[in-house]
Formats: sequence, C-alpha cells, structure tokens
Amino acid sequence: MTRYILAAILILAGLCGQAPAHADGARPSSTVRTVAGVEFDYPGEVTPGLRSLAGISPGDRLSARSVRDAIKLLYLKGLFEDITVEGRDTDNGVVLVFRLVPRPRISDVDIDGNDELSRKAIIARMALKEGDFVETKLMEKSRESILKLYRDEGFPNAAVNITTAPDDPLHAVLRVDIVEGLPTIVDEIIFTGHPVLPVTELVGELEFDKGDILRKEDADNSVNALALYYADEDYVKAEVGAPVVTLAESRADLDFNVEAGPRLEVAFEGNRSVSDRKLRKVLTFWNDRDLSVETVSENLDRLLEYYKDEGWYFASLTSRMEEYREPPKVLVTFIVDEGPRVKLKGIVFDGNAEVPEDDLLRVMELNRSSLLSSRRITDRLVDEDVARLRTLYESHGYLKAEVGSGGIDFSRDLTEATLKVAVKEGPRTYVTALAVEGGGHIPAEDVTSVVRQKVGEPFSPQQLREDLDAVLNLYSQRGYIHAGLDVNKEFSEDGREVRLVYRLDEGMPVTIGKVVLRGNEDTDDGVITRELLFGPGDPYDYEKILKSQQKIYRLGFMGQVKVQPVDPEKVEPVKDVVVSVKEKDAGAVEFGIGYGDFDRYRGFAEVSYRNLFGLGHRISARGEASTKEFKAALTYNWPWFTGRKLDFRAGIAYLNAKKVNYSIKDLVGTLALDKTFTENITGSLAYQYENIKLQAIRADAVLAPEDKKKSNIASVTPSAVFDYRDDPFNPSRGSVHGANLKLASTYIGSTVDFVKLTAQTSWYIPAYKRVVVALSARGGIEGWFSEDLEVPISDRFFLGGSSSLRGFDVDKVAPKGADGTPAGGDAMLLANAEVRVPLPYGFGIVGFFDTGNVWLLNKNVAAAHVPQAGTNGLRYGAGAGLRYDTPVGPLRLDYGFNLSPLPGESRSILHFTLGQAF
Amino acid sequence: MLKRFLIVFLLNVSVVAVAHAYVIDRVAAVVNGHVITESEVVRAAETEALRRGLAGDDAHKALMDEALGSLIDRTLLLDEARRFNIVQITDEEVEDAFGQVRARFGSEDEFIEALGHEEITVEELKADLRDQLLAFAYVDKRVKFFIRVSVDDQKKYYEQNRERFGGREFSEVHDEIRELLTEKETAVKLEEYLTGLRAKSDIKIMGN
Repeated sequence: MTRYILAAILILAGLCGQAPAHADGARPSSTVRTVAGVEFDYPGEVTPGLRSLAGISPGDRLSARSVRDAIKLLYLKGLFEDITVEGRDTDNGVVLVFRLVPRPRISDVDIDGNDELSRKAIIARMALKEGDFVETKLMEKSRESILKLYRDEGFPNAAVNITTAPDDPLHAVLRVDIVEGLPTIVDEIIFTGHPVLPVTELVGELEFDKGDILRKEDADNSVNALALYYADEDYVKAEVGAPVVTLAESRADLDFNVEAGPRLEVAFEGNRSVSDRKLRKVLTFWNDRDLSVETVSENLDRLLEYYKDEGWYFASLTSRMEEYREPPKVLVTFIVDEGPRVKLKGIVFDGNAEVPEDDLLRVMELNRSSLLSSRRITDRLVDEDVARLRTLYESHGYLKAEVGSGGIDFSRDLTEATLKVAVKEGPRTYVTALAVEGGGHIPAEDVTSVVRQKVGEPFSPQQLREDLDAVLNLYSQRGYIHAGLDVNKEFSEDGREVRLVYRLDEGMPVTIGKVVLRGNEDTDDGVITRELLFGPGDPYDYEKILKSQQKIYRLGFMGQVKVQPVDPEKVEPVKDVVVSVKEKDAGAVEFGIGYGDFDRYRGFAEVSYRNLFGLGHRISARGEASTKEFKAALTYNWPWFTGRKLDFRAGIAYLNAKKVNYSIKDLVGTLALDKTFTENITGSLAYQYENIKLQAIRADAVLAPEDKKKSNIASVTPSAVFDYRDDPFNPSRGSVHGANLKLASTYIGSTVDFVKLTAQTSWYIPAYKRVVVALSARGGIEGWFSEDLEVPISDRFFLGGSSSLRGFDVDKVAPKGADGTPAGGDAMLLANAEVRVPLPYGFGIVGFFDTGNVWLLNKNVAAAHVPQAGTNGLRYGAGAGLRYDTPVGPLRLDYGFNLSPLPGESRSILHFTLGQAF
Repeated sequence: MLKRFLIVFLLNVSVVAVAHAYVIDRVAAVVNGHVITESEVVRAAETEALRRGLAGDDAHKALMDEALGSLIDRTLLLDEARRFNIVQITDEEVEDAFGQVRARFGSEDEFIEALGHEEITVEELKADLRDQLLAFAYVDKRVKFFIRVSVDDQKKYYEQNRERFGGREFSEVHDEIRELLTEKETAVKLEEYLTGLRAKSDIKIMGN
C-alpha cells in the first residue's frame, strides 16, 4: 500500500461511525468512570487559571475528549515542553495527574570573549533574549546572527558557541562564548581609471581610512557614497566600480576603478518669472545619474508640468544639449516661453438642473483657494474634477450622467480663465424596494436597520457598498463570521427605478471556546481577562476582539498584545482564542523642564510603577518645582477595586506656593473612587483632608477668620465629566461638560463648613476647512452654613491668567480689599470664545475673546472687608495668539488686551504656556 | 473518489491499564504549534489495522509510527491548504460527506449515540469532515493536477502486466491504467512534497 493511500485513509479516519466489529486492541469504554481528583506535577506555580484551563474537576465523568482537549489547551499556554496525563485508580474513581514539564525560560544571557563588540550590540542581534523560552532552533539562529555580525564588523575569523546551563527548574542561563580573532585592517586605498577629483576628497567621502577596521557595511556603502559625491560635483554619469579587495594576513588593499565622465552644466533661458534655482530643484539628473536624451526629455516634461501647475497655462519649453571635450562637459539648456500667468476666475455649469451648483463646486479641487495664492487651472486638474463630478452625480442616483469639460474661456489678455462644465444629468434612479433573502437567524428588521439606503431615496452605488460592509459587520458581531452577501439590482426598463435584493448566506455561527492566556509571567491572569469584552460562549465578534486587544495594550505595561484564534482559517463552530502578551518594564522614570509666563521656569521628575504585585496597581512619586511653587505627591491607584469596575485612588500631596498676597503650605490626603460609566462619561467621589497653613500674609490680604491659623478642610467631592471630544489634548470637534460639588463639613473633620459648586461646558465646532470655533462657559458658586462664616481664601474664586481671562494678571480679577488687593469671591462666571486656524508645519493662530468676573455675594463679608470698588460688571479681554502642536498639546503664546482696565491694571499681557486655554 | 475514500469507523481511545499509575494520554508530537496526542495516534493506527484486517489486540502497535507520520502530514497539508487558500470546500460537499457518514448507521438514535460516545457534536463532525475534504482537495490541486501519464507509459505498463488484464485489449483498459499510474505518481510526488514541507516546518516528536 503506498504511503499516499495510507495517508489518505488516515486522513479520512473519521471520528465516528459504527465499526463492523470492535477493533482488536481497542478497549470499549462501556464503564463510566468518575474523576476522583486532579493533581498537577509542575515545579512552577499552579494558578487557578491553569486549573481552569485543564477544565476537569473532581466529580466529572472521565472523558477521553476532555483529557485530549485539556492537553491541547494547556500546551497553548506556551509554558510546557511536554504534557502527560496519568491516571491512578482509587475507590472513588480515577485521580488524574497532569505532569507538566516546563519550558525553561532564559534568566540571564552570559556573554564571554567579546572585547571589540559591546554586549548591547550582540544581544540586539540575538533571536533569544532574557525572559524568552529556550529553543534549540533559535539558539542556532542566534549563533549565526552573531557570527554574521562579527564578519560584518571586520572579524572574518570569529567563532561563536551558544549553550544553556540550568539555573532552577524553570530557568536556564544562556551562555555565549566568543572567540573574536583578528580583524581585517585597511592598508591602502587607491583610485584607478579617470577619477578626476582629488584623491583626498574621495577618501574623505568614505566611512573608513587607512588603519581602520574594514566593516562590510562601510565597504558596501563606499560605492554609493562616491557616486553621490560625484553627482553632487555634477559628474552625474560617473561610474564607480565595487572595490577590488586584496587580502594579506588580515590587511586589505582596496582598489576603486572610477570613470568620472563629463561634467553636467544646466542653463535656463526665457525664465523671467521663475528663478534658475527653483527650476533646478525640479530636475532629476542628479538623482537619476543619467544624461541620456530620454532623461533630458523627461526633465523637459517635468519643467513643463511645474510651469502649468504654477499657473502658466500657455507655457512651452524646448531644450538643447551640447557636448564639449576639453574638459569633458555636457551643457543642457532649457528654453522657456512662459506666456501669461492664468488665474481661474470662475467655473460655469451648463445642464445641471437638479444638483445645485454649490454642491458641484464643493467637490472640485479647482474651486479651492487659499489665503496665500489664487486659483490655478491645469488640464490635469480639470480631468480630475470632471471625474469627481461624475462620482458625485452617481452618488445622487444619476447613473447615466455625462460630465465633461465644455472648454475654457480666456480674457483678452489671457490672464483670466473661466472653465465651462457641460452636464447631461440623465434620469435619476430611485430605490423602489429593498428585500432580504436567505437570512433567518438574524431578523430582517435588524439587517435593514443598518442599511442606510432606504426605499424612495435616490440610488447610490457608493452607499450600497457601505451598506454591504455594514450588513457583513452586523453578522460578524453576532458570530456569523463566514457570512456571505450579494446584492441583486433589478433595474426598470427606463432606468428610473431599482429593486435591491440582498442575498445572504449566513454560514455557521461561531462562538468563543476557551480563552488561553500566554506570555504573562508577572501579571495576574485576572488583570488581563477583565479587559476582555468577550468570554467563552459569546458570539465570535471581530470588533470586540480588536477592542479587547486595544484595552489590554492601554494598561501600559504590555509591549505587545495579540488576540487571535488558535486556528484562524479553520471553519469550525467553536473557536478557542489565545491572548498572547509580551510584558514590558512596568517601571518608568520621567522628567522634564519647561517655561510658563506665570511661574517662569519649572521642572518635574516622576518615578512610577504600573504593575504592582502583578495586579495592575500603580504607584507613583512626583515632584514639581517652579519659581512660584513646589509640589510633591505620592499616589496609589487600584484599578478594578475589589473586583468591581471601579478605580480606587489614594494619595498624599504637599504644596508650597506663593500666591498674590500670601504663601500657602498645603498638605492634602485624598481617597477617591473613579468610575467610567461609558466611553464618554466618568464620575468620581473623593474625600480630601487638607491641612493648610498660610504664611507671609500681606497686610492688606482679606482672610477668613479660619485662615489666620492652621486650618483643616475636610471635604467630600462628587464630580462627573461628559467628554465627547475627538481629542482631549487638541480637540477639533465635540464637547465636554463637567461639574463638581465640594462639601466641607465639621462632621467629617473640617474646621469650616461650606459648599462649592463649579461647572463647565465647552464646545468645539469645525468651521471652514480645518478652522475650529471653540466656545466655553464656566461658573461657580459657593455658600456656607452660617452667614458669619467665610470661605477660606484657598477655596475662593479668582480669575485672570492664561487659562481664564487673558489680558489680565493671574488671580487678579476678584473683589478687592480697600487698597485693591484681590480678596477672592464666592461666585464666578467666565465665558471664552476662540477661533483656531491651523497653519502648515504644526503651527496655528487664534483670535480670542474672554469675559467674566468674580463676585462676593455674602453681604456680611463684603461689608466688613471688601468695598468692591466698582467691579460688579463683566470684565473683557481679547487678543490673538500663536500655537505650535506637540504630542501632549499645543505650545501657546497669547497676547491679550484688557478691554476694561481699572486704575492700576495692565492694558495687555503676554501669556506663554502648554495646552489649550480650554 | 469521495465514496472510495470516505471510510468511517467508530473507535475508542485505547487505555493502557497498569496496576497503579498509567498514562491516559500525552503529547505525541507538536507540528507548527498544533498538538497531536497519543490517543489520536492510537485511533489512527487502530483504524488502519482494521482496514488492513490485522488481527490481535495489539495489532495497531506496529502501525503507530506510520500513523503518527500520517497525522503529521495531515497537519502540514491543512496548514498549507489554509495558508494558500487555493481550494474551497462548499457546504454542499460537506453535507454530502456528512450524509455518507450518517448513512452508515441504521438509525438516527444509533448515530446520535455514536456521536455522544466520541464526544463530538454534529457541527464539530462537519468541521472535521471539511478539514479532511480540504486536505484531499489540496493534494489534488497542488500535486495531482500537474501529473501527466503519457500514452507510451500506459502502453509500457500494459505490456509488462498483460496477464492482469485478462486478455482485454489496451484500448479497453487504458483509462484504468492511466488512473493507476496517476495514483502511483501522485503518491511519489506527494511524498517529495511532504518531505520538503517537513524540512521547513517546526516538528517536535516526543520520546516515549
């Protein structure tokens, strides 16, 4: 029997069916046996996750299938070299023993013998690194890579040997022994042929010199380096041969054969409006390194295209090529007849009865102009815009529309052009019926609900394509990942009606089987599984799998995350899924320096660890200092607090700051619970205990009685944020709204009672092109439980500065004391409006208008301390600013004007800081 | 071809009983990350022993190496078939194969009982049948498709084996000869192909 036939039979060895007679050697399992216990023989930790993956518990029926599945799932973990399941009969049944032979992990890479090359360079080339599992194939691959590295670095006689030595039952040390041998040293470098250029200059272009080690990369790059140098010197046709290397006892002579060829000279005639320098940049002789007639012709075309794109519609060019012998030179002259520069004055449509002109103009590139240049017309742009118009008509249901250029009318002096567009709209096709055939498991209403093309609407082929994707996506979300979809379009004879029939082949539904975690040595299984949006038994939904992958990645301590089925291509009803992660260092040290208009120079340093105990807890210590303040904070974050979708935050912070009329030392302890309700809605509840000490108080500062000694403010603050922005650092659309309510009470340890409510709403509206109109309103009010009590100065409202009222000094807008020192208030309103215009290269400009004020509503306090001095009305500030985008928000320079200055106030202020004003 | 090769048996996992601890199952080999267990090898060997009509309880043991080799080949072929995606198995083909399996049983109850005994569902059986058909179709497309048996070779075979054809003329038997020689050549080419596949795959065979 040939191997093929045997293979065929075995391939076809079915899973079930009735044997003609029980096979000899096969033991029929007529007796049902029970699992009495499950044990694991493994030198590492047997986690609950591992036990659950085995999927067999005491009391279960002993099943060959479940033992086989357990072996396959456990193997997927990637932790075991070999797995054996043994049985031990007892009175109560069979005790299963899982013998798991661990795959040793590399605990250290010990490199010996590397005198010339660094450990870092060698490890970078290795296929195996610390933390990886030992694999013989990869050891050999690493050996070959290191050998290649040495040869490339000029050590042709290097030898490498890689072995392992056990460290403990789960780990091994990888030993790399290297004998470097003698390197190849450059002895002589000579240039033969007709190099023309001085030898010293040529040697200067090489990455090596006499006496250096000859590295392969340098030798490989030498030809290109020389060719580039010759091209830069206008010898564009220079031929540089690969060096002939003569070796003698580790010393090498290199011989470059060079034929420099003629020098290129380029000249221009007739270019009155465009400089030689600009035209030269269009040419490709130096990149192509070619002086053939074809290359000259191609460059002629490029120059013509350049002129046309810049608006010289009637430009024409010719060229002339002259060759000289002594010295060898080729002179290429381009002769230009520029003609007048043409501006596109307008676009006129003929034949568009149903589609408004504005809609047509909106899609045309020719219609776009910028502040810096007027509209140009070229034949290429006309063709492209005609194609866009055809697509537009098609999307509106005009399947037989004809659109073409009706010609260009020029002004008498040929400087202005009007494009005529001829349109024959033809009949409009409407969808008269929409049917779904072949489905069943998903209701037809669900299918039609994701289809945006509706009956009675004009037919759009583009929308149909999007609808097909939407329907397939719907099926995919419900586990029908093999669903197929086709659409039958039945047009009426006159083409005005179409009936759409969606033909579905649902295929087999697929559900998630077991979920296997792989690669998490330090991180607890639960930290990863709680981020998954799917579980065993759920429909196999690609979108949820991808989102889960993103969620795990966002934990911040995974270098690589992959969520994929065990057999992606296999068509099967249940798919086991493997979640593979590669942990990265969870610790981080960050530091930075900066400058702001208010606090001048500032710096910070932070040390954090994101995966404490392998449970995803985060601890950080941060210090910040500037000329105005010093802050230190220690914070602990516990995500999924007590297993719920709730984050716990505890922290202690110290602040030492210089304010307008006092200095403050504030020690704050915080306990908070944060909850993410949806992608856009978060809330938190925080308890805070502050110990405040005021110092260096100015004589005219208006303080509450509680401020005059050490005061303690204990408060509970619930808050909520509704964030619908597209980008939290630099939003261009959406809105964000928030409110928080601070309740300080003696019942929870405070020395003062008050209530402080603040709220904010901000909107970001995309306007013309990429211009954004940003609007914001903020308000706050605080009260107290006794009219005799005042809110401590540290909690009062103040406005003024780069993030509130621009054009005013920081914290200077507030009810003032007798001599004009801001005392703060208990009510605040602020509104900001900004127009943000992006510019090229990450820059932007803004125009802004801010208004607001702070009031003191507590009449007793006002009477006693704060005469108000005529500041009840709104204050106004306006100005302009410059922005520069950075990955963490824009750098901001705003010049604000105080439109309602009071005596003693500046009329304008320059603000410099990071981040948008709101 | 389907009928000829679709042979389905009811097999039991063989359990070697030893007084105290005994191996229930283990990893026999790992092919590109896919695990083949010893129970699967035993089942395949028992199937082949039955097919060959070998007698004795341990008749399958002599075929274990061969069975493992065939399961490894099957895994490699399926991986290649899925990777290149040059053949598609239709739902109708799967239903047809399933129907043939079902027809081996006297009644629906017997069939359900057999499925329960093997601990698989109807959908899982269909998925495995699809795999088997895929492997066959891939071999047909990747190997058999390129094989051409010339008339000269057919005639040569006829001359050398005249007595087998019971006096029939060449014209009466050339189709049969062509098919026979094609199968032979396919087996040879398939072996070469599988040898190449094995060389570039990650295959670990566990010791006993």
